[in-house]
Amino acid sequence: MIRYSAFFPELVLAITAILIIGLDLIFKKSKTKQSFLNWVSFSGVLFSIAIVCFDGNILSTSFHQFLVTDPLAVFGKIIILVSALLTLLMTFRYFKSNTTEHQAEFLVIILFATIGASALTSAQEIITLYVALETLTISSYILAAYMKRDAGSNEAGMKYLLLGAFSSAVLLFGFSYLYGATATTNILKMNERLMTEPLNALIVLGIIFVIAGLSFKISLAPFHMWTPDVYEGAPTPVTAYLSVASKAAGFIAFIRIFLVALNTPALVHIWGGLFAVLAALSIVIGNLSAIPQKNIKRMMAYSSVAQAGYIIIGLLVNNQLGLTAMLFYLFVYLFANMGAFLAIVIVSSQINSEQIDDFSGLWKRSPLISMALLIFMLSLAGVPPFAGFTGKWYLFGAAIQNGYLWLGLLGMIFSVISLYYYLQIVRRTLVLDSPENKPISISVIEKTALIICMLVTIVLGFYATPLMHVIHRTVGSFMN
Amino acid sequence: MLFKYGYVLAFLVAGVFFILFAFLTNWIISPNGLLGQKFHENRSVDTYECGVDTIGTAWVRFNVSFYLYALLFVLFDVETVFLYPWAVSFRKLGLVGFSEMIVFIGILLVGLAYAWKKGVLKWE
Repeated sequence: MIRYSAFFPELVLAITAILIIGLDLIFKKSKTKQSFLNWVSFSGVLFSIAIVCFDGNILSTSFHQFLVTDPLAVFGKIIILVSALLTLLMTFRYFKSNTTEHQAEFLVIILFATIGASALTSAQEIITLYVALETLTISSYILAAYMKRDAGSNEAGMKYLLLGAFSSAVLLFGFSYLYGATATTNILKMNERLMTEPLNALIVLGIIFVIAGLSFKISLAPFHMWTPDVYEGAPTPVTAYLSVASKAAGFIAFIRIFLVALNTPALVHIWGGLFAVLAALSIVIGNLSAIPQKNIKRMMAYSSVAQAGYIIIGLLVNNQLGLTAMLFYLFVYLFANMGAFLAIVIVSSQINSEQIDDFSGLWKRSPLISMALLIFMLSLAGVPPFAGFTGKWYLFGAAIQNGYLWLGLLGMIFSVISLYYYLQIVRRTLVLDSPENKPISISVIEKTALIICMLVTIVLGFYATPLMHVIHRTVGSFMN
Repeated sequence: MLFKYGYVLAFLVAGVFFILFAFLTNWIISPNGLLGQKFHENRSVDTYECGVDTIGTAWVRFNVSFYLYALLFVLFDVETVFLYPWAVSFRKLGLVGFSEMIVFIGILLVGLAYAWKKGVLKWE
């Protein structure tokens, strides 16, 4: 008998998606129908979050241990579903100014992408993991190219498809080597067999290919080349989704493969060093390339490359402290980055521009959004009272304690450098004047979401105990 | 240490060989190759015995509906392939298997209804 409880959250999302397709066909095109469908998708994701929160704490497996519901899966699902929720919120705003005749399908594809990401967090078997990852990325290709009359969006979709397909192939090739070396696709069994297996070329090559394939998804340098173009061209809600939900899913996949399957003393030496190089490259390239950017989405793309570099530090130290830091930073990053993108969508859909210069004088037009941008940018840069600082404190602390002093120092130096470009936005919004003074309108629900993101970013900066409690339990169940 | 990479070398050699072999056979049986006829005249590229003379090149723009039809065809083709093993072990799977197949076909039906309603099946 199959146990269905392990994938109830995904089931709810799937039913919601199919319901939206059906409702879209039945009713005639009108404004009320669209807002009704928006709310159906929104409540579907909310319901899914509720199931994860109340039902997910039981450790259970299903489909012959293909899927597992453990605390790590629950943590990942919450991050992904919350970012999907905020993405839907941005979508409602985005389509007020950018019209397309296929608005309902956009919601459906976001839900499908979320199903993939959510299933990825609980995949305990590399084929399942790959299929879930493909569900996520194929949906992302469509989403990136969604505005079909817009050349930028088309370019983004095409580049993402070509490079993404290539990296998927590389990843699958790496998996095939790991399978060849261990003769199992189950992650736990793979670890058992690798413990006794002497180190050989198949395993080493497999690891290198898997790192290359998965690094693409979280845009670690030097596999980040697609990021700026795709982030700039894709519709802004999709950019936000790619930078948080898609990355969070990628990081969970990294944790499952490297901290479980490939976590043997001999192998840690190999991938630990490789990740240290990738992290350093991402931090340097991401931060330096973000400085001259004029387009805010392009800047956020390079910033997300740098952030991926910070987060991967938590993985490469390979201990409890590192994983704690990684999960904490992911949570903080979710609210800071999603909040920043929410603010960007609200503003740019009303000023019809994504240039940083056009954000000038925002404080007159919308004090709330200016303040939100200030807080999110400072948190992303890692300035003390905000949660980003606590997260970086843990990450760099973990690096320094485990013999990666140079990496910790590099991270700190480049965090200071990153202040420059983050504060460029703040400087324009708060200091400069704008020729226009028309206020930026913001709906009640957007206001609520922004305020929640702000509160989380501020409060986690000095009172992180409840979250740390959850994370400690997650990490404790995972590695001893 | 180095001989451990022998696996990879073997795969590499086999991979290169496969490609070379394809080219080699192609060359052997091609009209100008090892076994092919050595002469070439205008008539030899004509349609043989029956069939219509070709007009223009194959590089023309197809109606996009072909692609949509092809996509739908693949979808339902795969469905059929999936139905066969299910039908063979129908008794073993019992009620659970039956209801799961209903769900599967239901999802595909929603897809068909979607394509129908959006006018994909209309030929213009």
